[in-house]
Amino acid sequence: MCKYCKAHAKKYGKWYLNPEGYTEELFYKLSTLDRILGRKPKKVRDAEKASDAAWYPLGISKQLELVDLASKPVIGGLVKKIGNYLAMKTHSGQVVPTEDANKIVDLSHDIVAYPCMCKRLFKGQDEYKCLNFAPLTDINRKAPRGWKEKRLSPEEAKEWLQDFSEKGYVHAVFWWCDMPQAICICNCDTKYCYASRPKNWYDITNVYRKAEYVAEVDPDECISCGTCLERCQFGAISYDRNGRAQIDPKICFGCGQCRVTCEQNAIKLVDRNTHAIAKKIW
Amino acid sequence: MVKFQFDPSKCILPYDANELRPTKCLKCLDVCPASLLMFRPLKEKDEFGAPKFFEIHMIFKAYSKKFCPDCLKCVDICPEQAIKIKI
Repeated sequence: MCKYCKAHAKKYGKWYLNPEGYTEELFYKLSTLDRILGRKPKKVRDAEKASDAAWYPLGISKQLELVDLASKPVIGGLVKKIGNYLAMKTHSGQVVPTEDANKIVDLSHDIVAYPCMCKRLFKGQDEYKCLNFAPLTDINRKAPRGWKEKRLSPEEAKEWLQDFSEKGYVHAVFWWCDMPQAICICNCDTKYCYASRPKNWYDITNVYRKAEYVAEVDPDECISCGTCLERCQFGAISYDRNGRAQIDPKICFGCGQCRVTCEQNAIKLVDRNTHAIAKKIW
Repeated sequence: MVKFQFDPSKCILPYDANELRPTKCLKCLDVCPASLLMFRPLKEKDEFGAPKFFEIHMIFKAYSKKFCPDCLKCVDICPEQAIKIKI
């Protein structure tokens, strides 16, 4: 658990289970500088910009050009540090299993589905799979070119999450301009995900934090069917000498999607913070 | 690094104000197995500040050599022959 998660988890155990993160008070809270300058809080200003669906491709393409600098030999290290710092201060996320995603739905209100921006930008297709909550949804509705939405009841949102889980999409809760303001649950396919690729390829780790869990296989229960191996989007699963599935805790993101496909119930999620190998890998 | 060239004069991607995206055809994005292509707006804007046209460009250029499978599917599928790739 990083210092931000520790600071905001409080008695709830995880930052995204802190009800404060879903309130309008936090979203519209003014900083001293905002008060002096008489302007809206940064969260609102940034949200108004991002809610312009026409602006989005330009913003993302500019960010990606900066991300590319992280591969440069001299300045790459500095770019990674700045990227990791900004990720915590802007808009980044953490993988969550379906149970925790359902708890987030219970904490939030005014749930709407938007088309996945990554799939639109990098695949040219629209699929409604980004579940957003208030107060960001209000800002989007006021935007001149706001995202098209499908409103969902909490029950429908949970059904959608279950459906995404069966498709193998990884749930991730994203914060907005500082934790613990949670604004959406993305359901990611890492093949075209904007967040996971900078993490995996450029080592900008804070953009897409691993879950609070890590998956483990019970070798006595595994029947070597291979479904979990096909399901894992991160390449964390392989076979051992006896043909049993094994999960590399250094690679595992703790999304729990392998567990969904395991008919033998041989896979379980354990707390990352107590795992000997995975506890420092986020 | 894979050199990706897109000719916006051959493939014109106007902005669809109702769908909030380019009107056509984005086949190159769909066919790329590594999802290394994206659309981005050109500078020209309409009276409402929305981009008028888009272009296709390659992302994650630093790792394009590693992740681009050199399949040339984007080149083959483009109906306007607007894409060229130098490997």
